[in-house]
Amino acid sequence: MGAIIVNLDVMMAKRKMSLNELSERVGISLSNLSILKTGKAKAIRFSTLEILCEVLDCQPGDILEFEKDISKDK
Amino acid sequence: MKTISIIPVIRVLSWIVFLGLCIKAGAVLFTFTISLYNPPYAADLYQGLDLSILYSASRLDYIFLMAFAIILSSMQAFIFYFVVSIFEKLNLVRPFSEEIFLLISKISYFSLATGGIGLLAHQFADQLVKNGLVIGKAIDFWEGRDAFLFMGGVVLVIAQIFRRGIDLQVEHDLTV
Repeated sequence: MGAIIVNLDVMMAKRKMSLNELSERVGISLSNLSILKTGKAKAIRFSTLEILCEVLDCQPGDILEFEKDISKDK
Repeated sequence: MKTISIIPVIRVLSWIVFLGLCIKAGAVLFTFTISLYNPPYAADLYQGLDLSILYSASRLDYIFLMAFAIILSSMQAFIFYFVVSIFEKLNLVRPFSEEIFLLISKISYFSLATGGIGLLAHQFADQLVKNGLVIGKAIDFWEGRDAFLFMGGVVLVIAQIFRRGIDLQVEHDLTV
């Protein structure tokens, strides 16, 4: 089985935005954003994804990426 | 809101029952120990329990019967100790925790064990009665054996549902 990779840090770097600033602008706590950024989150709400895309000016696909399990394909 | 107001009441009630059961178990143990050294005490063990005839007929049977009574009283006290512990550790903001799950599991295992030992005690007492011995009110100690078996089964199911609740809570906590 593959895995969903969260590229939030990549998008933040592209927009030159710190975690503190993002937290303030999207209204999500630093701890929750940290859970999302480190890939520990089990699920993400549509509302969270919407506000992140709006603030980071990107598409959901820029934040989330599906990575196939290469070892199983072989 | 209703749950929050009911919990302190149940907490106080469970403390009262726990203390009552501790006193009962302690009294049975104390009077039994005294009766071993002072046989006339077997005539008034706990709330008028008279086992003097059994004591004079067979000391070993008397010891076995009282052992059942002490074990069952202690196990009932232990069950309520776990109930009291649940109320002491309960956090309604995050109610599903591994600690509470373990306590609920212990309640179910102890209830099943109490029911099982109660059945054995009942069989043993039946045998004594068939042999013409008088056991008086001793039967009260294992009267609720079926109820304990049923309760143990129900609480075991609740413990499994609770375990699923822990998984769901973790999932909810990690939903951003």
